[in-house]
Amino acid sequence: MNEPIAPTRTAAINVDHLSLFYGGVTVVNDVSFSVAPGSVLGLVGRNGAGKSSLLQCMLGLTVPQTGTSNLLGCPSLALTDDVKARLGYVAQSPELFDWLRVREQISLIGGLYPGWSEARAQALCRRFALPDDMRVRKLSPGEKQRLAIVLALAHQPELLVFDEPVASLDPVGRRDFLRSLFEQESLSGEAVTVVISSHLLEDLERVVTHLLFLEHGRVQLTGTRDELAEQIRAVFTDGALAGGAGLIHSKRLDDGTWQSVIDLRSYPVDALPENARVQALGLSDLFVALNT
Amino acid sequence: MFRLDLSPSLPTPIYRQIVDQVARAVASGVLRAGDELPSVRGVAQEHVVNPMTVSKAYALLEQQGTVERRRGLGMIVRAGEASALDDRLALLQPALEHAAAVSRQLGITPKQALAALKLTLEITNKVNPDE
Repeated sequence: MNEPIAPTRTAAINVDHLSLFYGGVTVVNDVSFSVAPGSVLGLVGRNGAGKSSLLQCMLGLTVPQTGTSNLLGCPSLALTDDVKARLGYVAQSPELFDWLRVREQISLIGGLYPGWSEARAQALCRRFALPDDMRVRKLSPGEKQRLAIVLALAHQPELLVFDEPVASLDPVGRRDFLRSLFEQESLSGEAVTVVISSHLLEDLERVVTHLLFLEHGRVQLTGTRDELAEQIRAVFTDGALAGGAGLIHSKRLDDGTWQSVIDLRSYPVDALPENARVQALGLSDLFVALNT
Repeated sequence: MFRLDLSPSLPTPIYRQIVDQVARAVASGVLRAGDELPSVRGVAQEHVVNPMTVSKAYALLEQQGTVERRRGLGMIVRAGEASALDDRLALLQPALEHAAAVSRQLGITPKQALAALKLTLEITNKVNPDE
C-alpha cells in the first residue's frame, strides 16, 4: 500500500524529462515522475513554481519543448476520446457558460460523456449545495468552483486533476470536497487516481499518499507522504553543513544559524556536528523550510 | 466507544498516530479483547483522511497481533493478557523523551519538571477519574 509504483501495473501518470520554456524563462524544468493507480498526489510549490503549467502539459493543453507525458497509458498530446472520457479536470479558473442555468450547464457537459448519470450529478449538486436553477453568472466564486468540481466528478472518471480546487471554498466546502474524493468510484472500476495542486497544506496533508514539491519548475523533493514525514528532517547548526547526498536545502537564518533540510536515508547523519538540533517536520513546516 | 484523536498537521504520520493510539488503548485496557475498531470508512469520513492511510494502520496492527480481521465484523481486538507494566511504560517513553527535551530547551530543572509532571497527573486524574 502506498507503494510508489508496482511494476506490473501501468502508471496512471508518467512524466518523463518534461521541460517548458516561455521566451527565456524556464517554467517547467526537466520534471520526471510516475503515479500509480489509486494514489493521491499533492503537487506543492509557491505561486509561480510551475504547478499549473505542469498540469497543463500533463493534460495536453500546453505543448512542452522537451520530454513526454502519458495519462492512463496514452500520450498527453494525443489523448483518445476514450481516455478523455476517463479524465476529470478542474482548472484554476473554470470556464463555465455564464448564460446557462446550473442544471443546463450540467446536462450540456453530461451529454459529452458516455457514462454520465443524471441522478449522480443531481446528488453531487445537492451535496455541494448548488442552486440548480440559478444562472451560472450569478454564482459566487465558491459556487462556481463547486460547480466545476461537480462537472469533473459526475462522469466517474478514473483520473482526476485539480488545479487549486479549494481556493475559494470555505472550510466546510473544503472538507466536503475532500470527502467526496474518497467516495469516487470510476466507471471503469479501476482505482481512482487524483492529482491536486494546492498551497493549502492543511487540506492536502489529510488526503495525499504522495507529494511532489516544485521549486522554480524543478522537482525539489518527492516521495510518499509517510516516508517524507519519517525520513526528512530539519537540522539547525552553527555552521553550514557539507553538501552532498541527502542535503536537500540549506539556508543561513537571520540569527546566523543554519537551517538545512536533510533526507535521513542518504545523508551521513554521523557526520552531523555534536550540537546539531534535528527536528521532525509537519507538512507546513517542511514547505516553509524548503522555500525560504 | 473508542475514538481516535488525529492531528494531520503533526510531524507524526497519520497512520502512525492511529497505530500508537490503538496500541495505547489496548495496553491501558480502554480497548478490550473482542472490542471492535471503528471502520476504515468511518474513520476516513469523520477525520477527513485517506481511507488507504487508515487501512495501512489497521494492517500494521493486524501484523503486530493487536487486532484481527473478522469477516463481517471488521477489526477486533485480540484476546491476550493485559500488557505488562513494562510494555505500557515503553509506550509512554516517547512522550517522556519529548517532555524532557522541551524542558531542557526551556531551561527547566529536573526538579521543576518533575513537580510539573506530578501536578499534571493529579489534575488529569481529577478530570478523568478511573471508572
